[in-house]
Amino acid sequence: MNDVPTMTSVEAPVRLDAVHKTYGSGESAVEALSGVSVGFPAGSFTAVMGPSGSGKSTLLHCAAGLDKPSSGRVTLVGTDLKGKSETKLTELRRQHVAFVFQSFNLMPALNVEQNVTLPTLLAGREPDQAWVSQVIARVGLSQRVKHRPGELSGGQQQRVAIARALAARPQVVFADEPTGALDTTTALEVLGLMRELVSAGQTIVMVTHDPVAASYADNVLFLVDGQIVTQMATPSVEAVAGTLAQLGAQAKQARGQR
Amino acid sequence: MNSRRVVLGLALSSLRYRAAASLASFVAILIGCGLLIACAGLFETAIVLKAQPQRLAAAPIVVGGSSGFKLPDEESQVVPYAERAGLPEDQVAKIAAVQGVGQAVPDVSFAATLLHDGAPVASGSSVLSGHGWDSAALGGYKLSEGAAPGTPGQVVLDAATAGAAGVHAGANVELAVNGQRQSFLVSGIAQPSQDVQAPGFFFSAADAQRYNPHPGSVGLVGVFPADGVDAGELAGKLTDQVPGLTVLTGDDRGSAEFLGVDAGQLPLILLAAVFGGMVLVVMALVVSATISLTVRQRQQELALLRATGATPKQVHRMVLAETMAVGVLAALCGAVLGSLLGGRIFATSVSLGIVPHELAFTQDIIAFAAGIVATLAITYAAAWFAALSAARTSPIQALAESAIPGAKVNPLRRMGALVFAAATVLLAATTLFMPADTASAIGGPAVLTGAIAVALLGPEIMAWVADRFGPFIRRVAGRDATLAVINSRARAVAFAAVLTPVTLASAVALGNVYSETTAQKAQVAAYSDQLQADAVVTSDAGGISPEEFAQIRGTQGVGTASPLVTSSGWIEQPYDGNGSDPLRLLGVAGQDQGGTVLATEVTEGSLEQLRGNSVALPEDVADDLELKLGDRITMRLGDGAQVPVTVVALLDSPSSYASMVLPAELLTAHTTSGLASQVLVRAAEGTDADALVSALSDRIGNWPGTTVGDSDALTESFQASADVEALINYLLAVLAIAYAAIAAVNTLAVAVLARRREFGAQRLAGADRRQVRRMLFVEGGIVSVTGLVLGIVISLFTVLPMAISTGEIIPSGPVWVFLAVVLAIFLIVWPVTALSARLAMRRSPIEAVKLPGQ
Repeated sequence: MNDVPTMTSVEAPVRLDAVHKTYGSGESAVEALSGVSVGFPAGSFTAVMGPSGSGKSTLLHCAAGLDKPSSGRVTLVGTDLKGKSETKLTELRRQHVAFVFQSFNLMPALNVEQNVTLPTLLAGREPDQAWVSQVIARVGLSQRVKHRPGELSGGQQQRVAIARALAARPQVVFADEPTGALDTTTALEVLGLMRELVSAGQTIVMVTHDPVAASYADNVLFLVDGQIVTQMATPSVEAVAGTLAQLGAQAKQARGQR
Repeated sequence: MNSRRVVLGLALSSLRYRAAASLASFVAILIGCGLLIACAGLFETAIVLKAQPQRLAAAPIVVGGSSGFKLPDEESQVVPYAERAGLPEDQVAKIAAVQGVGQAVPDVSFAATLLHDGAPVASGSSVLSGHGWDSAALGGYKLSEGAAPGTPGQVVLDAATAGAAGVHAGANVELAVNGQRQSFLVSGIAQPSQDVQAPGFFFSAADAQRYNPHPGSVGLVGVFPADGVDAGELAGKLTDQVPGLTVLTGDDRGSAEFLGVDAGQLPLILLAAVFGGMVLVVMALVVSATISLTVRQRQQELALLRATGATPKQVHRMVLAETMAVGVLAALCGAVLGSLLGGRIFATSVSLGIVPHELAFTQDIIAFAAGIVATLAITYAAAWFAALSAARTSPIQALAESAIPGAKVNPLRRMGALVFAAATVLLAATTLFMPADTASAIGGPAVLTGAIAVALLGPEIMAWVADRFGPFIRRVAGRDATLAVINSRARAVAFAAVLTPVTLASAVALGNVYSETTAQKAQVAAYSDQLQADAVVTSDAGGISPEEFAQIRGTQGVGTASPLVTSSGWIEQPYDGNGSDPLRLLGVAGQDQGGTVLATEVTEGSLEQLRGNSVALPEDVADDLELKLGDRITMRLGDGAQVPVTVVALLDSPSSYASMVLPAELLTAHTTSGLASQVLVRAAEGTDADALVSALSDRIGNWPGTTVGDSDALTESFQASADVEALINYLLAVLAIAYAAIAAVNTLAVAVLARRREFGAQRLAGADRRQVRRMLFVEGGIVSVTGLVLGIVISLFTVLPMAISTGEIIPSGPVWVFLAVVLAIFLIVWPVTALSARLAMRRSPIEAVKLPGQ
């Protein structure tokens, strides 16, 4: 674990410093993140793993500026997100960030091409048609540009979501369980596609609980009770699964003692 | 492409995709726009007040007396007089002397009807059909048979009347002229140059002068310009050179011919304004309810849009654009509906007698433009506010399973609800201290503000009802109700969207009808309490002549007899400030053979003095104007005459709807017909009322169009005119209920259909269709009862103050209206629930759970 790339690289498009996030207040307060400091280097594929309730989704939301941390600092492409209005945050996000979700979350009323160009259009920019065609071709949907999401299979829909994520040439793609709703074969296709994108220089941060998905990443962060407990470079499926099982057992024990 | 166009494109494509859900807004806006255009048409009709002249159509210019009372305290407002304001005979010569006048033809009108077997052929306003032969020129009447009436006792009939009665020149006919039966020789039959609905009887100049109810003055003057003189220019000259006249040309001449037309303006404007306001509020509430309902249903989609990079503003704009796209389409279709509805409502108003039938319905481009602009403006405003919740959607919601939103409304909305609730209380409190006659105009809007307050606070109300009455509902409706109660708590927002139209419909219907019936009862009671009679003689054929009155008075058993004349007018000096709501004037004989028909107690002075130019005032009126016995005041009577009178008595009149009492002779001379239409009779000592009625019946047996009734007849004619006013409110209530019902159907269907997935899950968990349906019925029942109770409470804010201000305390009116409203609400909610439940459960449960949505 010593030859891990430096996590605090200056070029990191996303950085979190001592981020805390608490939901609720008083008795019912839940601390989802308790002091997370991490940077995601440019051109890397990072997987975030951890047992349920460990705060991995919250980490993703805070890193992407979808949710505001209770304390600490998030820097997105050199901009401190603190105190930014919702509109300002949206503009930052659509300029630098893209998302791929578990439920593919395509606009049901729009066809493949319209869905892919939507973020660019919302930003008030003219989409680069050549690039859009290229992106759609890359996810293998050139034959289906005029289809609506309802007419596509789950795997195809997720590929549209990935094409949409890439169309605006984002600095970072955040993926939340991108293979969670797919069967094994389709999931592997999608992961292979993501791997290819990283090889071409794309930065991807992915939340997952699937060791197979995590094994496609360059680096895996393990999160327990809102803290990064360990990380693993060039992971294998077995190593990830092992670490995960161990962490799960520890967490269970810790809770039992409390 | 700029981002605005993207948002619009997104809105349009998402509309196409979700056409069914947009239907609710579409229907509400369509019908609302149609109703608004209809209202605008009624309003325009009232403002333009166009009545095509018929009998006066041949005279290019018609000159009448002053058209209305120019209020001393308001610079421009002129209130039309209740009676025809004639002009003195010497004015005719002045008019004729103006340069450019070819001919000035004076016209008098008096009561004349053809009798058929002793009974009058016509009644009502068309009895004023007697004129001099000179007047025939005004309508371009040409003799088709016989000759002009040369000597007294001769008459010319219009062709339509003659034809209907089968009368030809040379025949003898019986006419009731000024209430008296007389025989005439038909000297000729005349045909007007265009269609005239009212009959026309033309008498010789000598007869016309004799029958003129206002000797020394004429009703109006028809002016024919000299050759080559323009009518419009001449009209301007006449106005300048002969002051105090109303000079009319073109279609305006109709208002001189048809007396009721001017008086119909205010009721029509009120009808249009009140109803238009109601439609606006209903539309705003329905549109915002529909939007908030659909926004909830597409929460996930909107959140996704936010996550994809749309700013809150863009999401807001998209929802707004969607609604406006539907709105524009609906408003255009509404224009078609509006042209149909306007004519229908007007025709109904005419047939009910709310507006005079001579009035022409005017609905041109202005009415359409006004209706469409108002529709779009209110849609925009409602959508703007409703879409705020869409803009607040957080992007993380796209990632989470869609959660059911809480019932708490945002602080802005709560503040709005408080403001509207306060306005309701304030309006109610104001009404409490208003004179009863004007209270209804203030009280009406309280229903609307109350309904808006409920609409704003709807979700919290539903949640509160579920919490507070949950156990009770479970006890009443059984075990299946458990889920219904939980749902109405959890889906409070969707339920509130249905609650709003239900509340509004019941509040409007109950509030309008019962405040009207309450006011009416007080009004009729106030009128009849001021008078007392054992028998009432009523004439439908123009009136009761002084000779006939003398005969009634001389009948065996008659103690006190008095003509009864009603009109309305003002105290001008010192001005009573009643403006467009002049006080009622009663004309009676102050005292006759030691008795009086006036039932109000005289607190000061004596009715004995009620002779000549004198008046008996209600004490309250005298106190307000600081008048005392013996003061000289100037009154403005129904025909516009200024009459100086002395205050001879103060009356302990009811506090609302009080009347000023004048001597019958004085008031009669200032009415259009110049005759009393009723005579009140009190029995002499030792004669009972029944004997009196039968003695009078014998006496008047063959008088045309005259009947004798007991004391109930006193209120009959008054009640009839009050009924007309009540009809306006029934009409409004029916339309409001119908519109709100459509809105309720819309929101209900949308709310039920959106839950297909939930029903699927429920059925997978073991519930059968019947159980789901029962649950929906209980839910519908909860919403209906809540809406009804709120509607009743809101309507009390207008009905109770009205009852208190009229001094009745307890509202009155028919119970069936209440029952009908309750029935209507349940008949709307339950069948629609059943139907949409059927549709929602058509798919198999396993398919249904895979559907997107909540």
